[in-house]
Amino acid sequence: MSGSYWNKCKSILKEKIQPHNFESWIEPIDFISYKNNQLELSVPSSFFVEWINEHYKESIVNIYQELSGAKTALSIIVSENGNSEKPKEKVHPDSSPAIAIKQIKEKTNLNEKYNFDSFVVGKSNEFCHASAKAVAGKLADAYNPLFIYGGVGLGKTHLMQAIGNAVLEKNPNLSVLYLSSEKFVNDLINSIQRGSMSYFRKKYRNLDLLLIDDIQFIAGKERTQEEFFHTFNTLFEMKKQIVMSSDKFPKDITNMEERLRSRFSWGLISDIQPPELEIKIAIVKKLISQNGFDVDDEVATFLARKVKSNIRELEGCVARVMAYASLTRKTSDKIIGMELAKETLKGIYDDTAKSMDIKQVQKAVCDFYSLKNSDLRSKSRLKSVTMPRHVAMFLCREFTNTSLPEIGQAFGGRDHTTVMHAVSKIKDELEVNTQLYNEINQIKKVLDI
Amino acid sequence: MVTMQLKFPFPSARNDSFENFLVDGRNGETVKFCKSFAEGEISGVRSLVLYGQRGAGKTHLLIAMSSMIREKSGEESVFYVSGKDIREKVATSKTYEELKEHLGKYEGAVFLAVDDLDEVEGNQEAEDQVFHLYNAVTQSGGWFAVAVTEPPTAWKFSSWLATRLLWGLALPLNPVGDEQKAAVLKRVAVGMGLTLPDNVANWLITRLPRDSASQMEALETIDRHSLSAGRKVSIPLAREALGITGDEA
Repeated sequence: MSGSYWNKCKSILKEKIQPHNFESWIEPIDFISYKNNQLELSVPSSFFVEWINEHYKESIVNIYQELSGAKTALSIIVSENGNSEKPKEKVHPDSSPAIAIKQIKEKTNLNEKYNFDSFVVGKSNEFCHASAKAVAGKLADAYNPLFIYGGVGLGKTHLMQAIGNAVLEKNPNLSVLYLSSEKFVNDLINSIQRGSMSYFRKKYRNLDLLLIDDIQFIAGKERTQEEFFHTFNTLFEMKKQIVMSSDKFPKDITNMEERLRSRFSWGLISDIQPPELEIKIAIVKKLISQNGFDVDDEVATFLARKVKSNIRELEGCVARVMAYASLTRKTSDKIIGMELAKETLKGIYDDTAKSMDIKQVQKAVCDFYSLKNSDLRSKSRLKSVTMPRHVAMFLCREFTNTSLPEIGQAFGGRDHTTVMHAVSKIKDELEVNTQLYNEINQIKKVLDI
Repeated sequence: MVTMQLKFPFPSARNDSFENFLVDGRNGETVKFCKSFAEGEISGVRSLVLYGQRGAGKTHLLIAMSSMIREKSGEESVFYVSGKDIREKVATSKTYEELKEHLGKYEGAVFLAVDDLDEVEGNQEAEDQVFHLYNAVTQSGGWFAVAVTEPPTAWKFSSWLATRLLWGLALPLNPVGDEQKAAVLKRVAVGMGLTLPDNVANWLITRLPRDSASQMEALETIDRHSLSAGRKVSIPLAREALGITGDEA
């Protein structure tokens, strides 16, 4: 009888409140008991308790009193573990671990190739890599949520999926889901249309680890933001891990509700920077060797320089070289030569290395440090001049095709060993000096490299 | 010839295949890559960009790849959509939900071909939708191919879209030379038992649309007209058969 009161109560509420509020707040409530005029309900999180108490408690109590004819008291509890009926992925006892994990990964949208071992670490991404590993090592501990931000094609998705794969390797019974924010939007739209919001909420609010890529795409989508807000709160309060990625820093995402933006910053914000040349070369060599081919330093450097600052494009670039090598049989000895590399990339990339000249670099450096071009060529040994001069020489060496003597000549007729010294000094400094690292990145942005 | 049974209709119910695509030294390598891509022989590559001028045969190759993938996989979810369609759906949909109703069907595709991608360039919302489609298709194990006029160096797509397009193969497609087209037309005509004089072959390739499907169709029309009229193939007969008026010969 009392259970049927609850069903009647829900029907009445459905008539009284907005459909999306009903779906959001009433559907997820579970009836526990109604004894001695005491109604007990359970909800997924403590946040939910507050919300129901604030917005719907009075209505629920009034409806119950009308139905039962007796004064009713309401108590709301958080369900055991936040979600006692949580549908865990079961691993069949007869399945081999590898097959079982594979089956789970298919449901999690994770791609096995994205793991920590296949991620090439350098200064530009070591912090992000370390924070991702820390999260994978202990979920929902210090870094919750983990917010990874950085430019396109730098490895955000790789690190997110690596977290998911590492977590599942350790514990295949955990509920892990990786998806793009657009998939979340689509799922929400479909659930609303099919009237299956209750299922939607159970799906997203019962996870141990939610990995959501390109979160900036929910900007401007109010309903999605509302739903994600509650998903976030529920998971967070149940001490479940959330990892998000974006190409923007949280405060720079426009058309995003402030309450969400602020939540994105609750845990750790970890940025991933464009890779240095050395990392790009290492990636090229690794990818080519994985395909059973070999490449010398000159060709690897050529390929690495062709792609400005984007690992995804670098992967595409190597994929094309590999495809050409395999299909055109232009390599008899499994070695990628310069001719093949050049032919493959013709028309696809701007020849930045050639088109960039010393003057452009000098101008960008002078603009950034508020110097005159003549300062760079002068004999001045003031630190305010020597450091920018070294930076300019370093950038010329890295991003133009000019020789050391030519660079020396363009900086007041200096010897090539002076240029070598400057380049080496900046490289060493970049290892320890974060400010310089950021300054050089800003100049590179101006130069579009 | 491959019978197209695509879930989403391709333009003009064309029967474009690799077999009826004109190949010469200018486009041979690209055609070979497209075929290998459709046969799943290029490991680790899930997307392909074809770039080249109008009439080079980009649509033909997109359709040829679609047919091959459909045949090999036995899957129905092989789709073709033009950039113009996407742009128009973005412009006319009143809500995001409505837009997703139109475009959501492509997300589970085994193969999605997006033609005339130039049409979405500079339209942020439309570019975002192509980006989402790319992710949805490739992340669920499907293949994605686009055709665009400009080479990557001239693209003005948003970085997140461009970088995904450049994750896979990017292939230039040059139109075959007129001499090759004429020679191939003559060879095909021989196969049909039709004698095609040089002047008619040259007339056809310079007067008709440059895509090979149109030219093959014209040849079949001329053949039927020649048989029914009991006359040898000549420029006047070809003009009659194709309904081309004016002193163009």
